[in-house]
Amino acid sequence: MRVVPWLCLVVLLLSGCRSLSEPEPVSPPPTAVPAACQLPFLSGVWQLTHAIEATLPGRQPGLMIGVSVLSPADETFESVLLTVEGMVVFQARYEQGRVEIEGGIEPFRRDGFADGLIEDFKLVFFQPMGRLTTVSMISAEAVVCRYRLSDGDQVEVIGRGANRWEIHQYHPSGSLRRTVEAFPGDRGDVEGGALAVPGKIRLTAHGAFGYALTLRLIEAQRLSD
Amino acid sequence: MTFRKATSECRWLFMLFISCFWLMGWTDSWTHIRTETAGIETVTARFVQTKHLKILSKPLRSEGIIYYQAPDSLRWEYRTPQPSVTLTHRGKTERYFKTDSRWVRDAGSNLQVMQYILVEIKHWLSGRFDENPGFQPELKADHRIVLTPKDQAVAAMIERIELVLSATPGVITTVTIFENQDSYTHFVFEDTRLNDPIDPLLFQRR
Repeated sequence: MRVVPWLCLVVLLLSGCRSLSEPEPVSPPPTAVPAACQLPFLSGVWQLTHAIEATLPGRQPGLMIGVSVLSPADETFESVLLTVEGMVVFQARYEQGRVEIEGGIEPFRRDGFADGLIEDFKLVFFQPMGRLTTVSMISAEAVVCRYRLSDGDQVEVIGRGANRWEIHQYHPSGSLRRTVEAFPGDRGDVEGGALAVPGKIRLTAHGAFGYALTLRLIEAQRLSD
Repeated sequence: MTFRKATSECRWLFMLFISCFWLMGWTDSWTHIRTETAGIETVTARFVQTKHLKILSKPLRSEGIIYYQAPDSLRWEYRTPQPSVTLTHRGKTERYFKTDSRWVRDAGSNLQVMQYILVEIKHWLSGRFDENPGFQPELKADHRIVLTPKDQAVAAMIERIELVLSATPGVITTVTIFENQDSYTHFVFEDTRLNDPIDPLLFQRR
């Protein structure tokens, strides 16, 4: 009977230590990003409001409301985190690599928090800013696009159809850094032109200081094309 | 004719005086407010909260219900868009929120900020607007109370709080929390009921 907990531990460790494997490339080398790999990323200017559930290992989750205005084409976003009662705890603006913290309270104003939030946000909402290296089919409906970023990280975008996609970010060593999964939400998805915004997005940061964020869509509004 | 006209004007002025007196009523002094609210044991009200931010194209709207039982029990419940409940009872504050059809306890650090605000709300609901040493209260002529933080740390988060009182003693119509010129939260209270019995279990985790 004692074997069972150990087996569970081994399975957990193995799943946490997932590393980058080489998918079968579609030859010749890709010149354009397939539509399935563009699905996760919005075009135009959007205002998104999410209920954000943040979970640290071994702790109960915390709830916040996140409001963001993003323009992927301009590589710009502004993000505000609020308590459900409306108190602003963090406000920052990102513009083409430059981060400006515009408001908030401790511990949210700390550099580490802002940097992590910006990186999470870019991973979820912006198309990877790197070179597309491979495009592969992993099933009849799923396409994997792999990018190499300038800092050596690799990002896989796996398109599984509307509102079902995954993003995996790998450290240059090949270990999994972050996972993003999108799901149709319980409040229904909000249609926005050719794209739909998923009702639920789950981001998991792996490693010793890992955490998980679940974003439940409250409202999506396309402000301009 | 002149006499009748003068009588009519006197009557009109008298009515105006009476209605002004009635409107000023319980909000003309801190003492009067405390006297009028002294008998309030419970408050129940629905509220609509709108968050105004410079980046929002339209305010973020939430709705909920508040329950207060003197001296210090409070249930601050949001029904939409994100169900959550903050409970303050016997000096302990906890928040729960709904996720995937189940309620979980909120361990977020922002709860500490809210504990401060909840103490303030309890003061207001019991008519003790001038009892928090952290705020400078001002009683305005138009049923308005303005609370300005004295402490620099609080002032960094809250510029001022404005409350508008109803003509009915003990009833608050609106509360607006101004964080800065670009950000404020407006609460409108409706269907306020005073001294209706409240199930004590509403203030406890179930």
